[in-house]
Amino acid sequence: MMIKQIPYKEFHRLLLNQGLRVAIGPFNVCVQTAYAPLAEQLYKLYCHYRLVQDEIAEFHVRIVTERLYKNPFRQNVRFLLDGQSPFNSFPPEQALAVLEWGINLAIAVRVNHLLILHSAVVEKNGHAILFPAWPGSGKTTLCTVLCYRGFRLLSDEFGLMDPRRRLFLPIPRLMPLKNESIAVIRSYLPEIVMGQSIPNTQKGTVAHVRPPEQSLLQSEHTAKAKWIIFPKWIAGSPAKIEAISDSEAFMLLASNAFNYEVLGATGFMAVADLIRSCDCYKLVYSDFDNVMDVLHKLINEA
Amino acid sequence: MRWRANQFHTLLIEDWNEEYTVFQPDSGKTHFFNQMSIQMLIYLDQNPATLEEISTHLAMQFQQTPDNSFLRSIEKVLHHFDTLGLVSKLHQDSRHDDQADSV
Amino acid sequence: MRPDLPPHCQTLLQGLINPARLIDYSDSHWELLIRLARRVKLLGRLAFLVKEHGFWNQLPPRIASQLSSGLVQAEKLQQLNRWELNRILWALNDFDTSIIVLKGVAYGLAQIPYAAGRLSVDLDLLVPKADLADIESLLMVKGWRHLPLSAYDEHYYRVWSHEIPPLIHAERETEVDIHHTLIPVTSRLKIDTKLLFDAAIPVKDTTISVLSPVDMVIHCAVNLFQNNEIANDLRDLLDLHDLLVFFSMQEIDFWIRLTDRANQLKLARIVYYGLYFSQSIFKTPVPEEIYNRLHARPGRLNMWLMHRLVPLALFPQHPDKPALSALLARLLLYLRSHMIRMPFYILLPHLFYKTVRKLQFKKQK
Repeated sequence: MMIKQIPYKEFHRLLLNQGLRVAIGPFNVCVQTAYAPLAEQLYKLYCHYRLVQDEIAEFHVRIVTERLYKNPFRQNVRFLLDGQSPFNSFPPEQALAVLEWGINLAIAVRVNHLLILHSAVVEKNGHAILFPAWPGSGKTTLCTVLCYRGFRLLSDEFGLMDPRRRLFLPIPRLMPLKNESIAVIRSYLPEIVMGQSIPNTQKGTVAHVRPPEQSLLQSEHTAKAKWIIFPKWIAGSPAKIEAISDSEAFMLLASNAFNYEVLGATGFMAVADLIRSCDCYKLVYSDFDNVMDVLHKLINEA
Repeated sequence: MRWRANQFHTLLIEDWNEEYTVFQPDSGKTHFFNQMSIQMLIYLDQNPATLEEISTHLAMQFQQTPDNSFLRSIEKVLHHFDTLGLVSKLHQDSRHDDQADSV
Repeated sequence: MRPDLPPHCQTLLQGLINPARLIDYSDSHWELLIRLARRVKLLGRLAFLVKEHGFWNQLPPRIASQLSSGLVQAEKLQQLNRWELNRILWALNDFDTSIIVLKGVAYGLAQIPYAAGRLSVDLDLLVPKADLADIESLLMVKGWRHLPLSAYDEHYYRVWSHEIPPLIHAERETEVDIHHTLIPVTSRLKIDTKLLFDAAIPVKDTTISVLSPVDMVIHCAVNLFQNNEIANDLRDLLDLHDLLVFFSMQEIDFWIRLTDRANQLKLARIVYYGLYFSQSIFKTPVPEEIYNRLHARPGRLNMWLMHRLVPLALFPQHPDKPALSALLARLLLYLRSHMIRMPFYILLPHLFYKTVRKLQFKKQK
């Protein structure tokens, strides 16, 4: 059952009491909060996610409110993972951003049965394309455009790889756009649903894009990767793609992964295999139509 | 003083067209090496050698002049490998030689 | 006498001492068990137990993946610890000293069962006090650094503690704790470390040693009941249980030697606590008459209190429903741990400083 199939009242009751259990890719997350504004945002943005009340959850997270003892009239929100607080408290308007970061953190520090690369992943014609993160990559923005223009979203953040079967697992999450990219996406994709802009977070202003329903419906369909493309957004630059060496791709990918080192030899062999089975490129771009032409050309030539 | 390679047989080596990624299980680290670095390790695995012997061997293999600057650059790589635990010094009568391998 | 434990603690304890029963755990029991085991660093242990009992393939897939994640993490930390030791020996290669490896890495070297599933974060070493300064400076030359410390903390480590401030190599992340004795200098208890070095067992083909079996047990008890605050330390009590079971099977007169050594080192009371709680919680087969061989035992009131407080603190809180009684037990044991470590003239300013700093820290955040 999808979240949008239950009434808001029921949704809110679950968040308040035993916790709302929601399938996020291969994981089930149990979310609790008594903070009503967060419940409303979640109902809108999580509406296509699957409800899994009867299943085991791997992550138990809560957003609680607390009074500040400096200023008892103000409230802050705090993220709890299994009752433990990994961050400071934040102003209440940042609740959604804090929840999303908290879940990402929990996944990044706890999951070691899968290799977690730091990369956006989309799928086209059955093949996964990785867009690894590196400074200035704009991977979330690019990923948002692609997944609303004919590509399937696997993730904007986690390249989640089964190291034995060499498959990528979808883990579609809300996509947090930052600063200028919020307005850029609003004008390029006016039809998409986005949460409120949240100013003054640690990463500036953030607004969360709801992932496409089609991608969520297929979030059990794994895919093998065929391309690894390191993107870089440069103002005014025409889209240009050029091959890079396998050893450079290996280094860029391995040195920026979440748990590559934790997995030891398993991680090394998985990355080596991945590189061998993929074509690796660097991509420079500024215009989205332009970049899509380049990508379609690459895919159709294959 | 002679040098030798440590646990060379445990290394996982991927060859990417004369560039190499090397996984060292003992340290859990991945290293990025060129052809000459790999050849140095292979040589030191086959037989412990002095800095001069290594230089002569590599100079021959890569058609370089084994002059002083070549020697110094080989020495630098050796010391780097020493801190990474990839090679170690072989003392004449040291009781310490093998301990690093057994813990 | 078995302490009364809340239901969630029973879920964890039964899983640890009766792993065969895990096969009957419902999904919701498993879910809770995983959360509790993770909290007290026992996920890797649980994974081992399941494998040992051969029902890994019958686990719910979401449980199996979490257990294997826990095992991968434990294995990674052990590999990092072993490598750090390797690099320390490399750095000290030309320096003649005696190094005793303590805790997790030592359990692996001594081949204690389940050592491979143990989550060990730091590398702990014991060296002769006379060599401490040389070892520290040799390591600093080879790239190890102290973590930045406040002047107070620096003073605390240097003057009152049993170890120097932790060292970390610039290119790695494993903390190295170098001890010169096993109990803080400020404590009323004193250990003649020469006795420990004399009895230490060399590790084959290396220059390092581990503590002798009885000393290893005593150190484990000292750590738990003298040096630590007991909160969430269930893993350490389980270490003690593992050591007792393993060594008592290996050596016929183990219990006699243990009690003799405890008396000799004047640590009989601490060892009493260790035996008592290991037996009452994990059912360690401690022979009854052994307790009477210990020259010092806790008084009745003390025992009555500890019997109630220790289990409440050792076991993790229920992640969704923390109990006030357990919080109180933790607070009392926290105060106890400080009182037995330092005299009042050091303790009061110390707790005052720690409280103020905590508040300032909160404010800064």
